[in-house]
Amino acid sequence: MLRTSETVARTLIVLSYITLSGLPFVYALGRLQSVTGQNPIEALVHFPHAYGAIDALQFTVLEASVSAVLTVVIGLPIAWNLGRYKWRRASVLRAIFSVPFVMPAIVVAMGFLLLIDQQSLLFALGLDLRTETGVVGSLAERAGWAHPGHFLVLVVAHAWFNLSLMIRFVEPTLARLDPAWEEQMSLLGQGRTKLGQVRHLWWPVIGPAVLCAASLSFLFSFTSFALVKWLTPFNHTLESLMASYGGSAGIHDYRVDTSEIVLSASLVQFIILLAALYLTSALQRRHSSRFALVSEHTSTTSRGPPPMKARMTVYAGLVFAISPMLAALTASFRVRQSNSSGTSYGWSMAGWNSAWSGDLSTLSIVDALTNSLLFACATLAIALPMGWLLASTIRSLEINKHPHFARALDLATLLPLAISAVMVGLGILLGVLKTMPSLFQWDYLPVVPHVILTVPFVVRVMLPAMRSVEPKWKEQAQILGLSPLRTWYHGYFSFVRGPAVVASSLTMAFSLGEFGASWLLVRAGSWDTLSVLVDTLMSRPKFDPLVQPTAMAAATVLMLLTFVLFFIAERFRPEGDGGGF
Amino acid sequence: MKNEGIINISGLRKSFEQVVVFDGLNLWVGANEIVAILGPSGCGKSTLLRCIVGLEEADAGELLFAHEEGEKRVGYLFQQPILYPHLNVEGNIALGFKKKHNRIVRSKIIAAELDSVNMSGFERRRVESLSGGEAQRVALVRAMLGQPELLLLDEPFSALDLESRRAITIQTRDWLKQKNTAAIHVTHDPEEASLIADRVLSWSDLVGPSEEE
Repeated sequence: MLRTSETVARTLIVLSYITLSGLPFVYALGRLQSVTGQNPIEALVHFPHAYGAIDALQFTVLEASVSAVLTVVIGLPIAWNLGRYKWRRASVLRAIFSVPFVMPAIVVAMGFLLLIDQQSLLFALGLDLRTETGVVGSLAERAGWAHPGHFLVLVVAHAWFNLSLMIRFVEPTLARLDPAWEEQMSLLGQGRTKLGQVRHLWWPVIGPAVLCAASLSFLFSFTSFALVKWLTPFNHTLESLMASYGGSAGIHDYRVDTSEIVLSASLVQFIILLAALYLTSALQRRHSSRFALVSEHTSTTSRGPPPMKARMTVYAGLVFAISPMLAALTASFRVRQSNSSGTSYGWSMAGWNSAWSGDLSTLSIVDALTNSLLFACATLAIALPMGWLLASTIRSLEINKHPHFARALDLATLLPLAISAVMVGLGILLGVLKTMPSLFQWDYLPVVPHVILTVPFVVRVMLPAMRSVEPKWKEQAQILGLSPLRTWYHGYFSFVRGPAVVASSLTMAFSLGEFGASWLLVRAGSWDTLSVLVDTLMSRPKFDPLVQPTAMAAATVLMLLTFVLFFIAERFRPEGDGGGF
Repeated sequence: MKNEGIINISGLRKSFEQVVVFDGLNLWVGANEIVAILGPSGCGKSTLLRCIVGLEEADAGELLFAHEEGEKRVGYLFQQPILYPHLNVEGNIALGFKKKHNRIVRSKIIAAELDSVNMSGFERRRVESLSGGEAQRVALVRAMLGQPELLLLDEPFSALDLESRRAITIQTRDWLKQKNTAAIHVTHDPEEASLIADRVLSWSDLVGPSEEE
């Protein structure tokens, strides 16, 4: 039984979190409802008639499904080979494959745009995926499919972004599976064929993890915003549709049609994402330690160094993983030069100098970086304790045999992922700000959506760590007669310290790279974050040759900062940790 | 009831929800005496030790220590040695000190204790690198640093191979005798029981068979 004071404190935290994460959404819905005069059911019925809504839904479901399948197709062979053999510098390989997930989407979008532009290798090989001429153009013409090149780049970018999900979920299980299981299976009648081994051993072992990673990949591709905005400019997903109409939505007697679109699209998106989250949560429970795990060293040593085929697969994956980042870095030094004899490209620091000094309409890189860091630190100061306390509350409920409450709260902490960044931003914009306009003056307003969006990640990192702390550590400390503080430190904190650093680094990385909500909320200009700065710069007309190098310099700074945070996180990650984040 | 031994247990009862683990359990251990309790797996031996050390609360009965006043000095060795992975061997052992010592004194004491269990030079070793026997000896040294008047041994050597088990059992007995410490050792191995104990009791000597309500 929880003590009363503790119960009250935990209840307050849970309520304040649910209020914080749910209020903007509820406010937004209320506002949109009053503008449109439609209740949620009417809005859902109206959805097929809303302009562009069905097209957006079809495109969203299609791109998210294909992205999830492609993530499995690309990620599974890499995870398989990485997990089954003894690799030199395995932790470095893992870190490189995991970095894409925390890369700011705006940087990824820029990286992929560079990989397909007219100076790229793909273009030189005859694959024009951007302006869709040549092979891609004739494919579009014959199949009657508008912009197949854009679609292809988007789903590949999503697969790149979610690659680490597959590796973080599947690879640790493979790397720590007791080799005796595989040996035993090969000696049994049903395990003599490859198919039999897959059916009776490998699918039960990694199947739930693969499905879990695929469903999360679907979820993140479904709510992707920056990549859609930049890579498929002629198509809308539900997310980008809401963002594009968000500016005029929620205003009485003005463009009521936009409010109708936003209201119905947000509800449809919420329902689909809720179903995807429920599926993910169920799969995560199945993706448990039902199998005999040994130390990674024992397992991989028994299979020895990777054969040539495994090396080729992993090295090809490495090239895929670093290409967009490398493209962004090199483009920051590459400046277009036009003269009477034509256009050529040269290497210079002009883009960096321009980014460093800023201009009349955009901030300097230093100012934007300062803003980003301030927001990230403020987000961390709130999200970490809040996420920690929520995770420990879920754990307490589990220990005290309230599994249904624990599961409900676990699912509730995932809800902000179902609301999406743009909807959270819209929620604050439409609901809170139009009710309390004075909040617009508050410089730290973007911290609110950042907290809402990062708390679920803190919970996802901390909860497995808290579950793995066995009571024996505390009992041993008590038997040794340590003080309550030392008992807490040695018997509990020392086991969750590493994950807390991981959660902190990820929180800061996500806050730094967050784009959707910031893009909607940061209107003042002087409070632009690095990700908003990159978008602003890239939105300018390209006749200025410094536009792209300047944007890429800002993107590179953002990328490097994320890299540093991620490598700090990797140092503290416990062995065999496979939480997906 | 005033006892003259280290511990006197009478009529102890413990149940978990509907299952009675033991009822009417009696046990007396004298000063400096090593008692071994023989019993099959799952009979409740570990639960008894957990009640004695205070990790579980008994439902009924009396559990009297020789020194009722002040802090109970009871050490405990788990079946699997519980060594904190964020600390090295020295750091783990240092947790056993009841009094504060400066670093030099502390290191000297730990080095001497490690030497006495044939583990000289292990101070800086990571605990993950220790073998099962080494880890258990580190746990033993740590438990003894608190100068317990009663040490509870919960099948601590059961995971070791036969030869190591015999060696460490004899070494532990010598150590306990040298330090005048009483002990309750629970095991299902009669040979181990006879090697370590002054007196061997079977579980049925203490309590009747378990029953379900």
